[in-house]
Amino acid sequence: MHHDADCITHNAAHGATHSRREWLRSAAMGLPMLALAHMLRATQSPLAHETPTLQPRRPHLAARAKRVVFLFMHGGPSQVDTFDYKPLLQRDHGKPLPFAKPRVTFAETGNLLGSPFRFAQHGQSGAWISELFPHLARCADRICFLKGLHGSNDAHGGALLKIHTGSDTLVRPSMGSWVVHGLGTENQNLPGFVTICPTLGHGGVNNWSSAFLPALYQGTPLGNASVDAKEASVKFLRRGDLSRSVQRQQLDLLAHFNEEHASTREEDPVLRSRIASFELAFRMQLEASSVLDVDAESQATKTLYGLDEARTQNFGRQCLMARRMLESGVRFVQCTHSYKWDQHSNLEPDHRKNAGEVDQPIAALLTDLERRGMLEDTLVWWGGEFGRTPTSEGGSGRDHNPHGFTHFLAGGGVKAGFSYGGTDDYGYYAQEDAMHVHDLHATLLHLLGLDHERLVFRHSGRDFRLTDVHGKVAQAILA
Amino acid sequence: MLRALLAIAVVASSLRAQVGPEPTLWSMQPLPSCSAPIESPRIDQLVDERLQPLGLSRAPKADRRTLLRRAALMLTGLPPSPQQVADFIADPDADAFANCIDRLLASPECAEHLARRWLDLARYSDSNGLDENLAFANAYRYRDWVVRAMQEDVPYDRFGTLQLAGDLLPETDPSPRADRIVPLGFLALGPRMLAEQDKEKLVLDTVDEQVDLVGRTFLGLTLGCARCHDHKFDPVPTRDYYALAGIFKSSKSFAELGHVSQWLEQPLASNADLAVREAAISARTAAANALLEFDKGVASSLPSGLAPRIGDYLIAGYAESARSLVREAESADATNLVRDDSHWGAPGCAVLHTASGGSQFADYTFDTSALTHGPGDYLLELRYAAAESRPLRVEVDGVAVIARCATAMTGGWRPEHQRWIEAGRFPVTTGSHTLRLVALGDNVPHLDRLVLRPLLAAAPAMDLAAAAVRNAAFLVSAADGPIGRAFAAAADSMEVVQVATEWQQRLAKFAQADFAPVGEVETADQRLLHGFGGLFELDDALRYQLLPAARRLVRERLADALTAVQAAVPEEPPHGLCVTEGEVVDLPVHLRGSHLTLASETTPRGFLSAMATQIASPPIGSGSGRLALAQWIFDPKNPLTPRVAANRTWQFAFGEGLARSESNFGIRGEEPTHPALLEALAASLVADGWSIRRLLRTIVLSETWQQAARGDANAEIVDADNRLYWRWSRQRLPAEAVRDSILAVAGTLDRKQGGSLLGVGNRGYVTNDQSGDSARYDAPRRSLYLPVIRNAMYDLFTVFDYADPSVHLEQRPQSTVALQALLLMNSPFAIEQASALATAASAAATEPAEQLVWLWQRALQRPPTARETAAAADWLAQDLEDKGLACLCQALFATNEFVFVD
Repeated sequence: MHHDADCITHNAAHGATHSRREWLRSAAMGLPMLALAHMLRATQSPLAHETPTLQPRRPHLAARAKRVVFLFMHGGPSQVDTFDYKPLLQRDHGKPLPFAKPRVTFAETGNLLGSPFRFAQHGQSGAWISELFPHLARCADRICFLKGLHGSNDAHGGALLKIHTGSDTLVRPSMGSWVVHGLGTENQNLPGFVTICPTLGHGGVNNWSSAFLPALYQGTPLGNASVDAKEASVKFLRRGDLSRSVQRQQLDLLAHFNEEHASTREEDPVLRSRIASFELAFRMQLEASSVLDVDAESQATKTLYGLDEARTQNFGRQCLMARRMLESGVRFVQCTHSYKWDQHSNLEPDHRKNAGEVDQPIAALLTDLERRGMLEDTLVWWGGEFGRTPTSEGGSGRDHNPHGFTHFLAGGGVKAGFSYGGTDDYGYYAQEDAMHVHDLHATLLHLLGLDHERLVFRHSGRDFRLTDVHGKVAQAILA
Repeated sequence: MLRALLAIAVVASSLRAQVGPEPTLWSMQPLPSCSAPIESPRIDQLVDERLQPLGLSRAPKADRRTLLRRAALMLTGLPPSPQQVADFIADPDADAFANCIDRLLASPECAEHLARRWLDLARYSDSNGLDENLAFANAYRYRDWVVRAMQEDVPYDRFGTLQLAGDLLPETDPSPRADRIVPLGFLALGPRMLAEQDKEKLVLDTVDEQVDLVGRTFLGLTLGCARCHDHKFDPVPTRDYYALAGIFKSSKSFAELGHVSQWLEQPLASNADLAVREAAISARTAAANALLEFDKGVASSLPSGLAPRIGDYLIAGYAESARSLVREAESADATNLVRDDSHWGAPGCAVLHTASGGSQFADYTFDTSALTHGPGDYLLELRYAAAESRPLRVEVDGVAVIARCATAMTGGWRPEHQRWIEAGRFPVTTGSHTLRLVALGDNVPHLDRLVLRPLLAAAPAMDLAAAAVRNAAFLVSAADGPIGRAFAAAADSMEVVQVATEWQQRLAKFAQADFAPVGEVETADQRLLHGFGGLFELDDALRYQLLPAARRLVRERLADALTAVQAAVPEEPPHGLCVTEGEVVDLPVHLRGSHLTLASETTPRGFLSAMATQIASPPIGSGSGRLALAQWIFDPKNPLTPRVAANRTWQFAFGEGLARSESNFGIRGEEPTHPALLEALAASLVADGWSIRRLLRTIVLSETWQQAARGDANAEIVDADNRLYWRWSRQRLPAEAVRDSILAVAGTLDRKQGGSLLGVGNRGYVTNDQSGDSARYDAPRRSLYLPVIRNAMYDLFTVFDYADPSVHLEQRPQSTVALQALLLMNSPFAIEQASALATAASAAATEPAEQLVWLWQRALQRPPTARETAAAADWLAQDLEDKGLACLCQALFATNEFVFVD
């Protein structure tokens, strides 16, 4: 759907173009000139022709979180089998749902299916957590559950795009790209937005693309879902057949040619910045290689993340890579537990297996971030593209359910040991403090100090936002 | 200083967008009348009219080497050859440059480069993207048609009409039907949410995408904004949107709206040819039905007198199962394959098939002490279904005993396609063994059964008895079947005979000469004789062998007749993605864009109300109205269409349009810097028969286009972005031209035109969650011909700013990011091409100094400077294990001079 953003504020985060900046410097002008320069700028499309940068930028508001890690559970984990405990669902197992199912559903479902998992309360906060997450249960008091989430698409592709970009029909920038557009990033030798082992299906690259935002803000994929986390790296990061010193000399030769070229032309910032990009690439080769070198961690840390066990080693490695990147100043990191949670059948064994692969690594990430003092300004975000129906599909499974599902947050300015929102008695529809995906996005941006109504980009003559014309910040969850 | 300040103020005010209410949009103002096409000096005059009041002037003409390099790279996306540059520099003809431009404009490379720009607008892709990333394996026909249209300089109004309504042009139209269907790919190639379950929403989202695409591409209007509310800035009320949407809603874009919907494709053949084919297919169907009818009766043609032999077969099968290894495939002792008895198998007939990832295997352990035959030579037979060849290797205790078997296909994947094949023979020694089946590729056939039986004297021909005995061996050893249970309970040979006799009596009634054919088997007992795996389940070949001679002859005649008509069916014609006429409807306004909240009255199909006084609306007629829409868009009085097209032509030549929001000529777009010039170009385009090539020629031959890229301190202050054209604006090559230039200079470019490199069947998944990307990008063809895969673009494209082919792309960004540098430093592509160039340089010259000259000429069309020569010589003097020259070539590809157009 198309909407014109109601707000037409220009984004102050971006400066002038390189050429204008050059000019400002060389002309050494006074205030009247600056005012005119501003006027000239204001008459032009604010961003489309400007040179984007990754330099850190001041947020609109006081930021509670400086960085984000999104632990994406692809396939759609079931809320009523994990964190949204429903005693009536257990009681009425096998009976019909006592109210209407949605107008459009992905598959046919029958009567209510009680959860095959035991629930218990954990921590001071008394959070209900099923037996699927014994490690996370011990972190209950650090977590803020969002139990009234809802979206608008009941197919994987649309729902993935909705969660990642806010739009399920059109190609729009990914949230990570918006965040880097708003905040830049802390380490100029690394990309600002990294996604580890992302899925190539269900929207694929559109889930981490910058769409019409500058390419600089595009997510950098490390491997993809078909690659083990061990093999995940930045594409073309190294050249095996040339030593570092020879490659350095080769770049010196290139720099020599480029200088010769530049010396016969007027100073051009575009030529300059391309010369600099080779130097950055050379530094990135070293920096990224060392950040991605998980083996440099202590044995105790590797054990904490479950790297010694076959079941947890893959996602554990993703989480550990994520922590190393966050620590090195990457703004937005995503880990993907790929397309495993889609239990149309075999809910009991398969959800058990899936949870077993991620439970310990996620708890380890929370513990590790906390002991490094990073949890307070790192926003940890867990969830899938939708939840699942409380009604049974084929006796042993559940269908997609975008109408009510659970995500959780931790760290970065959210209330710890807190639960916000809820679904009906059976866990089908978001009811209490319902929070649409747009509201979630607005809230996440708010925690990062970004006003979702001011984080805009002018494209094709209109201003676009992550939240389109929607979005309400959930004030109640702010610490 | 004061003059500069004033100049800035003038530029600033002239560039400020009109935000207040304005009676009519600038772009909708009528064009001046035009009797003759514009000439190049008039362009310069109109440019000067903007420069002179500011005290600015155009830069001098660029030197000839720079000019030809610019012309070649901008018009064709490829650098000129050193010879072409040398010839041009030496050419005394006053028309030397015009001659070069004419040669370039007529070249296939120019058509390809122009086509690539259009394909950006048309969001061309070889896959659907979004949720179900299926292959558009026929999309390339649209791409190739665009190249051909550019080559022929098809007038722009016809070029556009074919893409909007080619199917609605009269049969008398000079273009063959294929050339009127394929262009409709323009409307069809959008990304669709194929798995959207709200099908009404899917259809309306598709309509919306088409309205928006047509608006942006041809009219420079963001019509999509008016889906939910009156356009906030442009004179487009919501009613206009639904008037246009009705036209596309009345067209059909989907062949089927199923769980995963299917986009529409149509055969590309004349109606007469299609009728011939249809008749031939009817004949084939009739012949096939006749044969099918005959075969239905074949089962009842088994020899009479089988009933008394049931017991014998069971006893023989019992003996067979004692001397042979008889196993259902799914009873494997260890395997990473999965069992299935509902989809690829059937109840009571489970199969093993590929699960996911890793080397596929299934193990069966056995001990010769349990086989009455003991050690010796054995024959392995497998029963499976396979629609494609999926060969296996057979190992015993880790040693390959059959290197390759199960290569045969059986015609399908399902139980009815299962066939027995002989896998091979090998000796078995005394003791316990593990027999392992291993997939040679990534997959196994759908495995049902295996028999490892002693190789006695000569293997008997497979006749009814032999087949029945082999079937019996499974029936008696099936622990979960009634016969198997009865035999298992038998204590000695007397009891075995007794069990066999009992079953013979029980089943005899189904073994009469006229027993029911296979397709109509009903009871469990009947299935034991004639169902899958039943005693008398026979391969087709064997069943036909058992026919009486006269009936066999009839069958052969029927089969021959089928073969004959089959051969007479013309090959299926190629298909093209397209739209066609659908159910004609007028749409009500959808409140807030939702199909769940409709206004009470419908909006008649039609065009933009803001222009009703300028253009007479062509009659919609009884169809969708697409042809009328095309007529309205290309009405000579429609000022938007030629303005947008002329601006894009200017953009192609200069890198930026005169109005820089090339697809948004609304109030929120940018006004042209030279309104009079744009008007003149637009009017000329219409007056000159809508020839894009002639307009481009006029632009390129202007002095404005031929300026040097030199600086001017004064002009920098007044107009740093060079919006007024006081110099040439340096351009970075687009992704395709970076790659193509590298290939061309390395001497590896294959200039073949057209065709598909996709390598995925139509509607097949090009990417899915677990697999990587199956598209290949290693063909040394022009980048235009490489697959464009939504959701998983070729990394070279992505890194160089061609990232998203899902949306109409009016302008490629020109970013400078470190990933571009990494790609040029470390990618196999850059390394291989540098190596190819080094090899070519070594072949062209032996002396290092000559090689350098040759290389610089080839890559940059000039000799190296003294300092470049010195630096290169220093570099080559090092000990770099033969990599020196290649690394130097790689550095040349990476230079600013190589990727920027001066």
